[in-house]
This record gives sequence, structure tokens and C-alpha cells, in this order.
Amino acid sequence: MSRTHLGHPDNDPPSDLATPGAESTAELSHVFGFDLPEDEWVNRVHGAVTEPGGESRLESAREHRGKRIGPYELLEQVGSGGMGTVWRARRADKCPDRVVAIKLIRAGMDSRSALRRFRLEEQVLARLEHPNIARLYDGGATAGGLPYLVMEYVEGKPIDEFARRHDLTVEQRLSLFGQICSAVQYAHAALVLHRDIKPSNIIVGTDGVPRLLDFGIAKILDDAADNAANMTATDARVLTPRFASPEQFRGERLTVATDVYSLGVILYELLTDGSPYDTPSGTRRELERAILEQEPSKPSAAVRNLDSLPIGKRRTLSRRLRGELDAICAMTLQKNPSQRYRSVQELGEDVRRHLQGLPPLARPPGPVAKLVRIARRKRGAIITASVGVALGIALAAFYVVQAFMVPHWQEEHVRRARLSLAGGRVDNPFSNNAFYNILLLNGKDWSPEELKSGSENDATSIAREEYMAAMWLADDPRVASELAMLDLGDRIRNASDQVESILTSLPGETPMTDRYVRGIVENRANPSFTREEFVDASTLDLRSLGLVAWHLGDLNSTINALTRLPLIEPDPIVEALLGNIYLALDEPELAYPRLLSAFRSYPESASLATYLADAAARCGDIDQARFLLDLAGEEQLSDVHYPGHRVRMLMLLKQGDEDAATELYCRVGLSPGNVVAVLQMAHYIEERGDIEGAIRTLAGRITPGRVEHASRDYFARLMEALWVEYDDQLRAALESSENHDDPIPQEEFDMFLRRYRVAVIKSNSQFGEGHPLYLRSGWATLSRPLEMDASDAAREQLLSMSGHLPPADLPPFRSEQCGKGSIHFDFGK
Amino acid sequence: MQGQESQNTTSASLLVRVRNPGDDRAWREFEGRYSDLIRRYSRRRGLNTADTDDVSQIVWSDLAKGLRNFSYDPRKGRFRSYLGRVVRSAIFRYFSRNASNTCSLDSAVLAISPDGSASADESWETEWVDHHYRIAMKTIEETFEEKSVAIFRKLLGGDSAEQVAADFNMTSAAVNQAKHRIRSRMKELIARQVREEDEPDTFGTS
Repeated sequence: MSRTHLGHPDNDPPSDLATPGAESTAELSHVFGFDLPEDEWVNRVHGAVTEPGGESRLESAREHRGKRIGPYELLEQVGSGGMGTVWRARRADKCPDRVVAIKLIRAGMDSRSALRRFRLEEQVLARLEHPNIARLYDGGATAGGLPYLVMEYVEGKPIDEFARRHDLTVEQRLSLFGQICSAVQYAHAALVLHRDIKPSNIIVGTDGVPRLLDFGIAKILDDAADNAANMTATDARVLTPRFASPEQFRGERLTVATDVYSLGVILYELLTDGSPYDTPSGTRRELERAILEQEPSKPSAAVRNLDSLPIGKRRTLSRRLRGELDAICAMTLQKNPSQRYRSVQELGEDVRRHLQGLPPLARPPGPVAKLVRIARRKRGAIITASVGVALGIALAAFYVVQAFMVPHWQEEHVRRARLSLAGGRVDNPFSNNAFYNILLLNGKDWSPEELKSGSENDATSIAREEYMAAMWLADDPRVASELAMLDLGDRIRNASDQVESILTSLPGETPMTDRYVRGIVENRANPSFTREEFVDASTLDLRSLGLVAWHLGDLNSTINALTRLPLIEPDPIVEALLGNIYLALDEPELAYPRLLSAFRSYPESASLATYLADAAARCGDIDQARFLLDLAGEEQLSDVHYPGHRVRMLMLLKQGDEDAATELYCRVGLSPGNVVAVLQMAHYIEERGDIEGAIRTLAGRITPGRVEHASRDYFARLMEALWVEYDDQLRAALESSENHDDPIPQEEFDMFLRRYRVAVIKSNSQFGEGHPLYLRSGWATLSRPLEMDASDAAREQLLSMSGHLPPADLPPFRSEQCGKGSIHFDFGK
Repeated sequence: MQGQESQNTTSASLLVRVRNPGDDRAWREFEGRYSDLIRRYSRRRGLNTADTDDVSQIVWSDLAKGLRNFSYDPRKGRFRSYLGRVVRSAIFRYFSRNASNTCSLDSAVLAISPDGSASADESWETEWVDHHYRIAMKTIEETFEEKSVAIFRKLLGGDSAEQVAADFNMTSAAVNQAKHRIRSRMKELIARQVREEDEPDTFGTS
């Protein structure tokens, strides 16, 4: 004992060290706060021996009961925390009915640093005014010099208790959580972090509105870093371990990600009634270790062991949580702050989207994805080697820590990427075009400028980020080729990259794809492959080639590659592409099963539902088409490009309701650029046997300078049908269409016809008779956008190959009059 | 009280002795040591005085059975975890039985899972830490010279070392030295208390 008196507190004799199985001195020191700075330790002891509400001789809180503080009378103590005590109080002088909460600083914390903190809290709170944040009314100091805050008194229950007590559904819990997110988001916008978000700080009032209390350790975000350092030691003691983030334990600088994390724990506990971490002994040290090192279990897995629920309900709940909610929780509980949601807004948005049945928009870790991107672009350069090594180390570490989560996360990222491209329920015509629906088919034709500017739209960049994140998790060649597909289109179109740099985007071991890209970039021409090459190609090569060719609008290569893929396992991307190609080829019976398979994998995709409806309608299954359209969601009536419009028009035509179809056509089909409705109307007219009428309908829609594959190609197909047998009629049709507002210049039309002829000859030499593409390959080849940019020399070369040049003295082309509201084509025979 | 302390360290520890149904004195000592912790925790959970009395009764009855039937096994876990479970379970059962007592139930059930085994209950841990500080403080007050204790209490009250030094007409360095001595002693006392709690069979008897 005498030794102890001599010893400095920090150099205690090792005789106190643990017997086996007991806590070490270091652990105990930590639990009891002996590792705190001395001032803080003194406060800690004072808190222990003066805790109000108990029977200690040193009790101080009792002294305040019934006392007046400023104009307020303290009624009863309602809580105590690291900072002090909270009292229910009322104004004694006026409005005695007005009950407020008064936060009284602990006498033992009446130090300068505590005072500063208290003042800080006052300033911070005074700036916040939000329906889900408890208001600060007043602040001051007692006669004895104790500072106090006067706040809105919130009568209610902590959010977790409220949820349990009222047996709230998952949706109701998420809705409450969403309101809290909006409050925290608001505070963040005011540069305020909460830093101690926990259920006891979230009170749901009798009105059912949750309110956030106690920005007790909030600090102003733009505080200088040294200020933050001053407060770290204090934070370690004040924070509530169960909801504290890894960086809080690590003593790192805190950011909005800290609040995101705490909200994540709250979300997790709201969903599962349990902690994300397995801590049997429940000590602070164990909890700290778990928060720093343990991977949280998925909510859907956690609830399967929930004793308080019958087994059946556990299963239902588990299914309810699986997928999106698992992913949202995983994203918020990341150990590395930079891998979490970048803002509470994003988190709240994902929760809101989930509640609305929309897929989450959650973005992957930004900086790392960017690093991957940089590394990929600069591959080959020396600097890449070092980045690569660093990346390799990072990846290796990542694998060790998160080996079990990687496949799940990767899958999730890929899914998000694809859904982002598919558009989900959000109307996103460009992405639909670019990915699931061919330019031929969907609502709008895009000008080259639009294609360029559209390439960086939100959905595409989100998809790119998601793919990057997926690639970062695991180097999956399939994902690499989907990512390459996104990039290649833009880069080749913009011709801004060197071929080597473009080739590095490809997954590797794909010789045909490489040759294809090289051919296009260097020669601006489609390389051709032999049948043997296709047969011998690897699955990965075929898939990559198909995706890249698809993105460039080269249907021949796409079909040649993708139809040769052995479909051992479901590949929704390939199925979706092939489905759309068959739709484009007007083979709805072939399209339907492909699209259905893709839709089963991505039932959230409104686009897929719409195209499936399209296929069903074309097959004549109107009921199914209607059902699928309803499934796709509300029609965007005001948007003339909404693909559902034309499906409905088609349904009306199939049902023989020509008047209603005409009305719809006049509403949406006459809008500039909405070609597909025109195409379908032309189809309808063609099916009635009026090929000339169909040609005239289309001819009116051909405008130079736009990427009008759809009208051009269909027009070409109709021309093909007419060319041999109806040469005269065709001429007559062209002659009769004189009064169009925007006639196509003759030379333009000439050139079009020539190219059409060349294409037909080329394709028919490539595909034998009986091949489904025999008649159509011509327009398929034409559809490649590069064809438009080919040099005149190349064009002449092609023409010279044909030997079937159209007559040079073709009469001037005039589109027919497409009178608004009139679709009667009185073809003068 | 020096005597009581030496009794704890030389004869079988309190947790061992209390398992003997015939040792009433050990039981009273045991109650004296832990009733404050149990009551404070119950109050912290929002129970009023009457409920706290009732819950305490349940806890003591459970402890009597649990300790003497050896359902508490020191090899399987710390006594503080065991005690925490017993208290939480008692609170839960008390309010399950008295379902009409809804107004208190709301706060009582907070942070208590239905089987009473809420993990990571930081408020229990906090109360437990406070509890040991109070015991240690009591020992300090009884074993240290009055002046040192008075200095320490002044410091606890928030006075600076300079203020205290002026009050007692001594140097700040001497004030700090007194504080360090008490701090060291407290650390040792707490280590001893916790060790005794965790290792009742090996401590003191060996």
C-alpha cells in the first residue's frame, strides 16, 4: 500500500495486473477513465459521486428542485447526461402554463472548457430552426454562475421505444427515420454536426413527430482543425459508445459521415431491434473493438434470430429487409467514412426512394472509384505502376477485411449501375436508348450533339461510378466490358482518345473486341469477322464484342456475337439487348422471352416492363400489354416521348380502334423527333396493304442532320419491299409529296438511296437466303452512326462496289404533307 | 473501516462467503454494497421510488437463489454482467406483471430487451463504474487524512488547483500531489474491487 502512495498514477505497479481471465490494468484504466486527462478524470469522479437522483451524500441536483433560475421555476429533473442535468420547468413570472426544458450544466463541470462548450452549444442551437429539431429559446447563467439553456420541452418517447411500443411497421419506422434525416441534413446545411445522435436524443412527440434534441457536442463544421483537436479527448468521454463511429474512437476528424454512421446504427436498430455488432459481454472495450473491426451483420440475417418474434414473422421481416435495406445499412455502417453515403441527404433520399418502391441511388466510394478510373486511363505509364501497387495493397487489405461482403456488394453495385441505365421508374430516355433500347426503337431520335452531351447525364455517370465500384471490389471481366461499353461509345464518337487508351478499358483476353475497336477508331470502318472466328471466340470476347457493337449501333456484329453466347446462366444484360434487337427487327415472339428473362432479374425497371408490354402488344396479347404498362408505373402524360404512349397507340390499333389511335398519334406522334410512333403508324398502314402510304408517312419524318436511324431504316426496309416491284409507285409517291414544310434536299435523298442499295447488296452477300436478317441486314448496316461520318471517298468506294446505283436522274424528293390531325394517305394511283 | 478492507482481502471474498446460506453477515454486507447500484440503475431507467423498492426486492430474491444455486458461474462471465442481467430481467418482469402500470413501463422497458439480456447497455456499465468510484471514494474518505480529502473534494467541485492552494495556504504543487496520491490510491482500490468481483474464488483464499 505504501508503494501505491509513492507511485505516479500513470506508472502504477504491475502488481495490479490481471490474474488470468480478468481485465488488464489497461482495460480497467480505460473503463474507469484513468486514461483521461486529469481535468476530465476529476469531472468523471465528480459525476460518479454526485450523480443526482441517487442517495449520495454529495448530491447536488436535489438542491435545484423547486428553485428559480432566471424567470424559470424548475419542476422536476427529466434526465442527465455527460453535460449536466435536464429539468422540466416553467416560466414563473408570465405564461406559467408554458413548459420548457432547462439544461443545467453540472456543477462539477463548471470549468472554462466546459463553459466554452456550453456556450458553443447555445450558439449552434440558436441557429437551427426546423420542425424536427427541438428549439432553443433562451440561455443564461444562474445566480451561482451555472450556465443553462432553455429549450423546447418535447413530451414523448425515444424513437426506438416509440417504434416498439406502437409495433410500427417497417414503413412507419422508415418514415420516422426519414424525418430525422431531413433534420440532420438541415443542420448539416447550417454547418452543424450533431455527433451524438442516439435514440434518447430523438423523441417522438404525442403528435407523432420526431424531434432531435441535444446538439450537446455539436461543433461548427468550419471550426479550425486545432479547435477540433482540443475537443477530442472530451468527446471520447461524452459520446455514447453504441452509436459512436469508428472515427470517433480513432480520434479522427469528424465529418458529416460521422452523423451518417450514427444514423445508420439507429436505422439498423429500428429495423432489427438489435445492435449491428455481436458483443456478448457488453463492455465498452468490447464494443469499441467491434465498432472498429467487426463487420455488422445484415439486418435481414439479424432478424432471423429475433426471439421476440414468431418464426413465421421473422422470415417475413427478413425477406422485407433483404436487398435494398441491407444495402442501405451496409452503406451507412462502413468503417471508412469515405465509403459511406456522402451526405445525409443521399441516405434520406435512398430511404425515401425505397419507400416509394424506387431503387436506391446510393453511390459507391467516390475517391477510390476515381483512383481506379485514373489508374485505368493511365495504364502503361510509369506512374500507374505505383498507383497500381498502392491499389493492390488497398485491394488486398480490403479482401482480408471484407471477404464475405465483397460478392454481395459487387452484385449490388452492378445492379445499381444497370438499373441506373435502365432508368428504373425514372424516365431517362437517353439511357434507355443507350442501353436497353436501341436508338431504332425508343421515343426520340438524338442529334450527334445530344448524343455527346447526353453521354454525361446523371444516369450514365451514376452507372459509371457503380461499375467502377463493382470493379474495385472484384475484377469481373463482365463488368469491365459493360463499363467499357459505356465509355467506348462516347470516346469513339468524340474521337478524342487514342486507340491504345481506349483499348485499355476492355477487359483483356478479348482479341476480337480489340480488333473491332481498333478497326473503328483507326479506320472508321467495321472490321468483319469470319464465321469460324465467331465460333472459336471465347464467351467473354463474344459478350464484350456484342456490347461494344451494340453501343455503336452495329446490329450485325451485336447479333452475330450475342446469339452465339452459350446461355448457361441468366445474363440479364444480354437478354435485354437481344430482346430489344428482336423488337427492332419486329420479331416480338422472339423478343418476348428474352425481355421477360431480363425483367425477372430487374423487376424494378420500368423501361423493361414497357418494352415487354411492347412485345406483348405486338404479339397481340393486349391484356398482358396493359398489365405490364400498369406495372411500369404512371404514364408521363405530358411527355410525348414516353414510350408507353406508342405502346398504347399500338394496342389501340391492334384492337381496331383507329380513331383513338389516331388521336393519340396526333398528340404524341407529331412531335418532332418522336419517330417510333410514326414508325408504328406506318407499320399499321403497311399492314393494311398500303405500302405507299407507309412510305409517305415515313418520308415526312426524315430530316437531314439527325440520327434518325429508326425512320431511315424502316424506310429503307419499305423501300426494299417496293424497290423491285413498285419502282414506279415509289417514284410517284416521292413526286406526290411536294408540300412538306421541311423538304429534304434532293442530293441528301439521293445519297440515302444509294447507301441503302449498297447496304442491301453487302448484307445479302454476307447472310445467305433464309437467314432472318437476309432482307433486313441492309438497314441494319446503315444504322451504324459512323456511316454518317464516313468520308466521301469511302462512300464512293462503297458505291463502286455495288453496281446497282439508283438512277442518277431521280426526281426531286418532296415529303408528303403531314397535316396536323390528318393521317389519311390518299395515294393517287 | 481499515479493518473491513483487510477482512475482504484476508478471508474468503464477499462473493464467496455470500454463497453460504448461513452467513447472514455476508449477505448484509453484500446488500450494503450493491443495493445503491441497483437502486440507482433502476432510477436511471426512469422508475419511481415505489417501483424501485419493488424491483429491488425481486433482484435480491433472484440473487439469493442465483448465487446460492451457483447459477452464477464466475468462469462464464463477470459478476457485473450477471448482476446487470438480473436487474434488467427483474425490471422487465416487474412491468410485465403489472401491465397496468403503463406510465412507468414506457421508460422502464427502454433499452431492455424482452429476455432481460440487453447487450451493450452502456448505462449499466456507467452505473457500475460510478458504483466502484463511490466505494473507492468512501474508502479514501475513511483512510486518508482529512485535509487531503477536503482538497480533493474542492477539486471535484470544480475549483482550480490555484484556488484550492490559496484556500489551504499551500502551494499548487502540493495540491496536485495530494490529488495524484488519491488518484493512484483510487486506481489501486478499484482494481482490487473489480478483481475481487471477477475472481471471487481465487482472490483472498489463495
